[in-house]
Amino acid sequence: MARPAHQRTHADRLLPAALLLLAVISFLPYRWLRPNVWVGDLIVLVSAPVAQPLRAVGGWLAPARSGSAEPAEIALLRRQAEEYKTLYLRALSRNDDLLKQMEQLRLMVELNPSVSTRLLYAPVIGAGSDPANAQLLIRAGARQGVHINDVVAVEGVQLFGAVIDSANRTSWIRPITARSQGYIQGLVMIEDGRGVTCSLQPVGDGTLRGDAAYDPQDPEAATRIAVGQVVRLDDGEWPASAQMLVLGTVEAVEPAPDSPLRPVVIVRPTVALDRVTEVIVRVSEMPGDARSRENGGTP
Amino acid sequence: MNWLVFAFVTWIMLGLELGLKSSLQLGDSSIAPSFLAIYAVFIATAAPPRSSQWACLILGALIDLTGPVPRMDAASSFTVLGPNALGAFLMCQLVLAVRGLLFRRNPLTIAVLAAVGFAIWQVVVTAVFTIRSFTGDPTAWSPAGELGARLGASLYTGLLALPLALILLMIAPLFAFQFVPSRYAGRR
Repeated sequence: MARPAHQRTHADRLLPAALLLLAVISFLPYRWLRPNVWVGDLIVLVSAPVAQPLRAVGGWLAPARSGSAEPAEIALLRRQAEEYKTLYLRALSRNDDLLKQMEQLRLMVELNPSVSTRLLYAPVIGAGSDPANAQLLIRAGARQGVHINDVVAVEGVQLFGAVIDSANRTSWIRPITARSQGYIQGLVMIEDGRGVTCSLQPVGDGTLRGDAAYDPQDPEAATRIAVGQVVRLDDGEWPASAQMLVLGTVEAVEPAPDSPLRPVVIVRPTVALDRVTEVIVRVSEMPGDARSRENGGTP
Repeated sequence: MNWLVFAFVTWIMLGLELGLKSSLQLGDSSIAPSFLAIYAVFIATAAPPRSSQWACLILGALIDLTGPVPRMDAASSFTVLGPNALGAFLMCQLVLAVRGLLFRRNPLTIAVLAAVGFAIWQVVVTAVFTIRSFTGDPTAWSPAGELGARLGASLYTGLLALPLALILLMIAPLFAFQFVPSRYAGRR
């Protein structure tokens, strides 16, 4: 039986008020919810001493690497080969860009200096409590020079995604397979180092899916897409330091229902992005970063 | 209830939630169990009603605050405080309503309540985010898909609750639960 009104305590009165407040906050416009992020980051930081070791245990129980196991030496050589291939392709791409720039801007004395980035290893210390969003929290933040939109990679050349929020000591990163990511332009690397452009969209099951573009100069190119071919990023909306990083490999090729010349490509990253335990942030150098690092900014 | 013990176990459970949840996902789906939900059900079955309600609100708020929602229109995210807290509170009310009829020290009871209670909890969360998506939130929200995955997560949570409830029931004396039915509370 409920207590009479005159016997109610402060706690009794506070609970309906708290519920009302939570109901109101639930429907506030997202622009007003910024303080929640700061409180959330603080809570995640406090839980990190428990969450980080457990994440390492979880990584051991369910390894991030997909595909067949191979000896460590071969895996290392394969990774190195991929890294050099990435550098080579990036150099080719960069050469093409520079030639175009020189053609257009030959009267200029100096070209803009190339994009400078610094690699920063950062452990993953937690994940968003809602797995549908698949965001991860890393132990590197603004004090280490990490900024929003910095590129995040895994195992050297696999593109993970980008930094979407950066606090002082931690940052939230979003994988390319998150449904909120939107479209990504990629190149399916067919033979002779040529690429077929494709527009990929995260499906939500850890893969990317999209149509391969029809190239009028080489109408047969799209038909040479096969399972196992590497897909690389070639998207002007991403920073220069992310171009030609690996998006994944072609898992399946399906005929498009409405256009037989434009096959649908399904791409899966080389590692399960939601289970990584360490990432590499390609930190864009900005004015003032050097000073902040001198003040003790190490991960 | 001993709130110090509650805070310490909450810290451990939050660590499990953030550290181990993604490793327990079913394949490539987003179906994963919730450690904090099992803990909330355990508290709701054993603690005095008012303490249960506050504890569930706190646990729900922790899930809210540690689960930022990504935006589609910009490289950023936002955190909504409330949906999980309200869902946890509703789950708590359900458990409080039925716990008198159940064997509360049985792990199977906690497992069943965790599955059913977390399903109700997730219906509230889905409803709130669906309404928010109608009002213009820039999120990739698909109500049907989300509800399906979250109900799957409820069943998975129920399964995980079986072993976890054994541990929680073993440490239950540390919480110093002293449940006094409300009909006796007024006579003190």
